[in-house]
Amino acid sequence: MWWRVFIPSWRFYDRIGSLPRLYARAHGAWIPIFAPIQTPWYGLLFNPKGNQQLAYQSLLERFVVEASGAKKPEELVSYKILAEACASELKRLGHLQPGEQFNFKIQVGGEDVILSPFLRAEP
Amino acid sequence: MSVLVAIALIQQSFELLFIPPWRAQLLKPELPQALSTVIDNYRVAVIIRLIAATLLFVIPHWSIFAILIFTTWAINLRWRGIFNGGSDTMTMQILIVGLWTMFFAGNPTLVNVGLFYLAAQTVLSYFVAGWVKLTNSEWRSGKALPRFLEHSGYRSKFPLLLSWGIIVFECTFPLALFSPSLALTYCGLGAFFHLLNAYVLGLNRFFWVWIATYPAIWFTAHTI
Repeated sequence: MWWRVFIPSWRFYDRIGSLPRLYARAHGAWIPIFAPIQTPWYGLLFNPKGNQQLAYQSLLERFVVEASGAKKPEELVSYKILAEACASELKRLGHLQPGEQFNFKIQVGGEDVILSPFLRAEP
Repeated sequence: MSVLVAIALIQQSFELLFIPPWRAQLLKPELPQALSTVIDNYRVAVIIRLIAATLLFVIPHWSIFAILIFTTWAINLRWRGIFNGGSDTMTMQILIVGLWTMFFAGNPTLVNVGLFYLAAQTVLSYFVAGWVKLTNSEWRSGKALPRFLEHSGYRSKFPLLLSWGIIVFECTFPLALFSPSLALTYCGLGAFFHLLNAYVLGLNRFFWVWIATYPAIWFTAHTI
């Protein structure tokens, strides 16, 4: 992975199909995690939230590809990053306290393709 | 060109200061031990790149480009090799060409080779993106575009027309190399295209990075 930035790839928006979406919950309803946001008027110069969302969306798409060929998806680095991102987002929104349990799911085209077991949020 | 590169890198680096990355510890199992130090010093790399990019305004020296290449690589490593897809790979192409042209500044032939290479990469970036759309029936029928737009909150009233507009623009971009007036036209259209993408899809970095390659297109069109 360390050399990826040196290799140009210009195949933008070539993969047709619904994009995977990430949802998480502690108790209650599923909450979308890193859902796309509206670009603010100053977004041409400064759009950290939008770029963070894009970075996590890329990670999510990469995880879906990696998980399809993996025997234990939960051991993948991308799985662990996504799990932590879900916990951190649920905490930020006030839906999760340290030590409580949460789980997440990934939907593609409205269908659940991955459902995680319940995980404990780090203190 | 150095000024445009500096603006693009300042914009990227400043923005990264406000984006918390995932925990470095999570990446270590898939990284060689030697690279652990690099990802542990992520914020240092961002700050050094911000300073080096600012220095480009006054000292467009090859050593500054070398620092920018190293810090750009280090920053991307922290995001599992790449942060924002094509904008990072194009940033790296520009920096490599910047290093090349500054290092061989006394040799016009080698400088030209560097600029021709960057122009070729830019033209390819549009052409390849256009070609993969052209060969895809969903893009040709106008069905693909609304799917990419569906999560942005924007709707296109004329998806078929817009899809073909994008395909024709991207596939014919190589014409920009054949005359200065065509270069101006295509670069103008390109800037508008990236401006729309910045607001509709949040791809603001692409605007600044691709604009920074346009002097190479202009130079190549003049030379050819």
